[in-house]
Amino acid sequence: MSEIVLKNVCKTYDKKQYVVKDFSLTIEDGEFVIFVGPSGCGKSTTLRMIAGLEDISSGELWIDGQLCNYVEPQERDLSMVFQNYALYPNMNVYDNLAFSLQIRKIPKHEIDKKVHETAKMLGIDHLLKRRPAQLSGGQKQRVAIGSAIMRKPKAFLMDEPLSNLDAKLRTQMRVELAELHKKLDTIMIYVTHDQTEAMTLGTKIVVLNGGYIQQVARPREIYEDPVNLFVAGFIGSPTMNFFEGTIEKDGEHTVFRAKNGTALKVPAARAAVLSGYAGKKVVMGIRSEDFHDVRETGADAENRIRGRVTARELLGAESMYWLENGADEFAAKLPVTLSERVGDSLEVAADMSRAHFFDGETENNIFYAGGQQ
Amino acid sequence: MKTWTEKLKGAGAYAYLIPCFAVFGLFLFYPFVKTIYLSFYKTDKLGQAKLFVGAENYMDLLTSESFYNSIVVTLIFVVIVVIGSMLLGLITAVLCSKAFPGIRAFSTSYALPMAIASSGAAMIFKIILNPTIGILNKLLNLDINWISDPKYALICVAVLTAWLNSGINFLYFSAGLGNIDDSIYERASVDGANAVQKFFRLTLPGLSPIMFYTLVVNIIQAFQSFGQVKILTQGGPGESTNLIVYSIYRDAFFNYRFGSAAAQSVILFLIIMALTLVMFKIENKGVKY
Repeated sequence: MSEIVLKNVCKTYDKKQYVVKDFSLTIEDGEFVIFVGPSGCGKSTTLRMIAGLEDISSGELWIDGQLCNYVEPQERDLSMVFQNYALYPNMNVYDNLAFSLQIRKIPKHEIDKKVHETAKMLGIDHLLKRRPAQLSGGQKQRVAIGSAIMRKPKAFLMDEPLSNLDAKLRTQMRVELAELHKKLDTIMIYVTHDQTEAMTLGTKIVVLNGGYIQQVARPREIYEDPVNLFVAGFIGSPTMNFFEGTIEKDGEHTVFRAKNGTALKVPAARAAVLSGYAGKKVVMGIRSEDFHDVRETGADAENRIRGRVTARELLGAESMYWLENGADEFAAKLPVTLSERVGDSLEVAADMSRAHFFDGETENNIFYAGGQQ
Repeated sequence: MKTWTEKLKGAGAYAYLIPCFAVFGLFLFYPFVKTIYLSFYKTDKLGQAKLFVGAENYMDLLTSESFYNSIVVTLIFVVIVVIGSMLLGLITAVLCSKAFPGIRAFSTSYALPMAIASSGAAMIFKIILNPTIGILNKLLNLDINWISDPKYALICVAVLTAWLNSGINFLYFSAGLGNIDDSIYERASVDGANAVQKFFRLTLPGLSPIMFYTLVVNIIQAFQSFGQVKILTQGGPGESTNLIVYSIYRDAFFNYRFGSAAAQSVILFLIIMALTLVMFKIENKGVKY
């Protein structure tokens, strides 16, 4: 049973600017935690602080009830997969896998058994005699993961392990990593900037920006109930469509009026809260899949936005339409059967029950439920 | 059929080689050939070949006890110097591979021996090792005549040479350490390796390509040491520090036996060449990555 607790962990290099600020998180046994965020958000730094490769400027790191701020990396009993794999170039694959056991003076026959087991599991048992320089990217990656899972550490740390692989291999390794986590049932902390990896692998996602934790939640919650504009825009592909505008009273209805004048009716359940924002700047966010073809049965006939098609991408079963409407640009995922082409005018219906509203000043989600939905 | 302009183009390539070959020819190939030529002659005091004697110079050397002594002394000297200078270079380079305040001052001082002329260093060592006023005897509270005692003279010269050669080794090894990816040390730390394990499992193997090169250069350099012997011991006491190069110098410029000196040069060349070839043979069989 292992547990990692971070309390107000900060990292600063010059005592003025913080790379990571007040990072507090409890990671329980068996969790697959994803640190996700744009470059320079402090996710790798946090991971390296957990590993002991970076000093913690302030705050506490507890691993299994032991304060670990000043514990050397070799004493922490963790294992890590690096972005560049960090394979030992002078050793063959066998020794790379065996290294962590060899230095622990574990009997040779046990190491031998474990190496062959692990190599077989990862499909690299035919490569044991090769050196890292003779391996392809995917094979190196497997060796790196293999050498991390040779022991049973308290946690596995992974620093963007899939970012150097091609798209197909990345998808394949993603599936294998998920399986591996199920099999090992140990804490995994996984750093990535790829939100698809975050959504598919994680049991808990930590979204970081500018050194601060933005939101900690399960993947679905992050997607459905983002805490603020940043998280809403970061998670999801293509990114959520945002419209700046104001809340107005239109007879008995409360409407959101976009800058170009389009009025969209706010659902009754949300009208009361939103009418408090009347006259203030509000950002409405709506995902591409929440737009529908107006000719579709059951499409919300009242909330329509018209735009000029600037681009059209064929996704397979659906098409992504990129529309432009005065000040706003937005993407709508629509059936592939639509005949509109680039340059045509197209009207789409917005499913306002799935729209998000953000305070224009604080950028916070006005209806953020925080897991209490 | 080539036109004359095309022919000229080919000739142009050789023209570019002329400066390089002129310098090599004048200072390397000509002396080398001349040395081999002289080794088969008896010469006058100006070094002009006078009498062809065939292999007599060589036969004389191979039957001379003094020459065998020179070879043995040189071999002992080379072993001490190479081990000493490489260890010193390696240790200082590893110490300076970590960042800490004042690192530049340390790096400079470890690399400095490279910039010191061997005879200048020998002068300083002569004072340090002086039995009556030398600081070494004072510090160790000993009364040893370092330079005049056959037991110590060779070691003194060897240690001095090792120190002189360690500067360039420090540079080689620092460059070698810089080529080792830092992230493998990080991974080793997380894997649980301590500093000693990291040194022997990662640093030393990581240095092995440059280690070989350094070894070859050091051996050749040690064989050719001259200035420190000339200043410090003049080959003495007795013949205890009479290295081959010094012996060549003495034969040629004290005894005016240029033929014998040339023959010794040729033998020294053969020894170094054989050693180098053997080392490259071993290297080819060794591990590469």
